[in-house]
Amino acid sequence: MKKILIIGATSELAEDFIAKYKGEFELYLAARNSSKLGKQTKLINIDFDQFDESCFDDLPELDGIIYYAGITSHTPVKLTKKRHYDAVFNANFYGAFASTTALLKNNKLANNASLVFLSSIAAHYPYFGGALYVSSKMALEGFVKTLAIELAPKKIKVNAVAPTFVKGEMSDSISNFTSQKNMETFSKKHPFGNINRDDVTELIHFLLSDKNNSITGQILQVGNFNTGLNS
Amino acid sequence: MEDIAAFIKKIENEFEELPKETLKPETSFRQIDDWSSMHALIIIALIDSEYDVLLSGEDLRTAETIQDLFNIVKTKRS
Repeated sequence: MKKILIIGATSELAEDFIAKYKGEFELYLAARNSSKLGKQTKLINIDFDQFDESCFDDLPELDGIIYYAGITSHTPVKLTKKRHYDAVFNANFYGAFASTTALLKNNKLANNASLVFLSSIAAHYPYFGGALYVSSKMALEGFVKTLAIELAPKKIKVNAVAPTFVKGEMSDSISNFTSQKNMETFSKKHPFGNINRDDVTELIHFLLSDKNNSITGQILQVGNFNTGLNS
Repeated sequence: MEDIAAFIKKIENEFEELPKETLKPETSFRQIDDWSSMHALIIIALIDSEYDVLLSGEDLRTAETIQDLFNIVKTKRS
């Protein structure tokens, strides 16, 4: 059984992956508030505002990581404070970087492992008030592409998955700031319609599997977002 | 906490297209010309930045006037 570490395990997308594949993988779950995950074994408390890499000490050698941790931002640049910057960048970027460093230093990643980081369509199509979210996800994508080069000798695959809005917590928080009409216009930019958690989960599952022999250093968009004039 | 005049001044400061002194405590903020979701976002961000209070979508939906908003901020700070 492959051993997979899930960071940000309380996110809705993570819950979906865990529900579907807990029988197939040996899962290690890390979250800021891991008590939310109930009585599962192999829980890790992790807080990127005060990251302590010893939280990974008891992990075995891993065959994969999925990094789901992240928060959105809806603060115009003019009103942004350091605390906003810290909150968003710690969760979306620093946590991914620092976790990877800690796991590599302690030889916790097996050869042929697969690392998947959740980015967002917003890194490519920004929105009003999203400067921190957008730039942190762009930073994450730069990290992914670089890490893929560094880990290629060990055949470790490193990719980002960048979905459009998936119905759930984050997109609901966005709908607070926009009208029903705007949400409908946005939906119409997706020729295949809105996406489900499934669509993201299945792609991640493929990236972690032995079927993925050669995909690395890629940003894989999910949702066929169409910004063309004919949309 | 500051009074409502200072609160109004801060909002006016963000909505530069708004003529000065059009906002009053009893102004129904959705009646502001060209009111949009962007204004809602700016008000939420302003209140978060200046008063350390995070309004929910629900707060914003139930508030009618500038005074209502100010009252929510005051309650949430205490």
